[in-house]
Amino acid sequence: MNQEDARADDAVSEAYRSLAAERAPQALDQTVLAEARQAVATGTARRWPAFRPLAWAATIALSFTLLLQYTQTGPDIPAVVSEDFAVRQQAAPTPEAAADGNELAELDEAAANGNELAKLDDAAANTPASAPAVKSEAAKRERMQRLDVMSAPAGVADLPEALQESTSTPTGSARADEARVRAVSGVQESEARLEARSPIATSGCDADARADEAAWRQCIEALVAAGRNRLAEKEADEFAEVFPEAEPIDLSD
Amino acid sequence: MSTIEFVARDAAAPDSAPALPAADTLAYAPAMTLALEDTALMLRFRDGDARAFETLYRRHNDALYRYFLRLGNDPAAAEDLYQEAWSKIIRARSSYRPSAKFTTYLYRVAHNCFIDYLRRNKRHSYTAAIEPDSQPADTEPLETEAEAALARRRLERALEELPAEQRDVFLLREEAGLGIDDIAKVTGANREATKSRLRYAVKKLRAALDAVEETA
Repeated sequence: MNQEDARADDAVSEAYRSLAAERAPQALDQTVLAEARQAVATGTARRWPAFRPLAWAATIALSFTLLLQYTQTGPDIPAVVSEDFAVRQQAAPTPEAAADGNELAELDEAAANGNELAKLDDAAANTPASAPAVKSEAAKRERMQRLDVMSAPAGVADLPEALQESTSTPTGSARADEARVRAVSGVQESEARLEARSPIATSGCDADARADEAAWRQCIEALVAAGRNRLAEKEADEFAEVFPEAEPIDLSD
Repeated sequence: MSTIEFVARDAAAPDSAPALPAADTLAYAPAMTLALEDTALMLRFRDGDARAFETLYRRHNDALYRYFLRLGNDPAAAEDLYQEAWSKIIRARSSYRPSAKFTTYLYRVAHNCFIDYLRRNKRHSYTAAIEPDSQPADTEPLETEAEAALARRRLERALEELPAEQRDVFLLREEAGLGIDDIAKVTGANREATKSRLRYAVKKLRAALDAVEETA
């Protein structure tokens, strides 16, 4: 801005200052201040700091309980999930298992390899001695199904059959490979269906959604509902910057 | 201009005064304190101190009211928007984070309120000029008015006739005391566009004042 502009600037500012003498109506002042006092009196802002230590205590207690449970009973099912595919690769296509024609052999071999399924088998073995062997076998099958369900990506409901086949069919590595290929293609198809059903689940909120507070909020809630929590958190942060006055979005769902 | 207004304006426009002599630097020192105090007051209000809010409110109430009054050219709407903006500040206090100057935060909320108001009342366009009926007639008896009153009237009219984006930027500078960067943050426009809008606004207002001088 050159000097002439600066002089014009000052002159306009000075003229505007002499013009702008209006004051906020006293009635409005009273209304706003009363609202502020009432908001403080309800104590919503104070309640949170008071409850913070309690929340920490609850979190620590819960963590301790989970840890205790983990150490006493062995890894939980989700811990198995990460190694599940490797377990299946080791357990399913072995010739010995095929020769025996017995799916329990696979499980036993997996147990011998020191994987997580072995611990589940041990846990099953620790059940009361009077329990019939048939029940034990049924329990193992059920656990295998649960593992397959847990290992599938969220929203993929049709995987267990294909994956189960890859582990429980003891007729040689060729069939096992075929089953694995089917399982993988099933995963891809299911993910594609998931994307088609909910495009918002794989991408953030678009410009249209961001243009409006309510629309953006809905979009973030949809992300939360779709399980895209990281994306939702990122969007929520941006939302808070653009609409600082808006109520914070609850991402806990 | 009150002392507080003067200090607040200077505090909020550091980019307009990059290099200052020592004497002026002293004048700016309390401004920084004031800026900190605004944030501190808001934090105290967040923690339940209603008196802190009252102090904060008294610092900014008139300027915010004038911002809405001039921005929308509608006193009734200005009152509603004014109340709505403060209500939002009050309700959102628990999520307040001192990431920017309080003035920037306040006027961002106010700006958003005004944009929402325009969306609710689509007959008002952000860029629309005011209706001809509401403008003072050119044939008003100039000789009966004092020169200063005439200048004010012309300036007010010129302000009303500015495109709303330019008016918004000008008011954010004059009433909120914000610098170019903060105005850009509040309006969501880039720096160059903001600077350009302000330059056009000042130029038009200056032309209105010059016209008064020539008439006199």
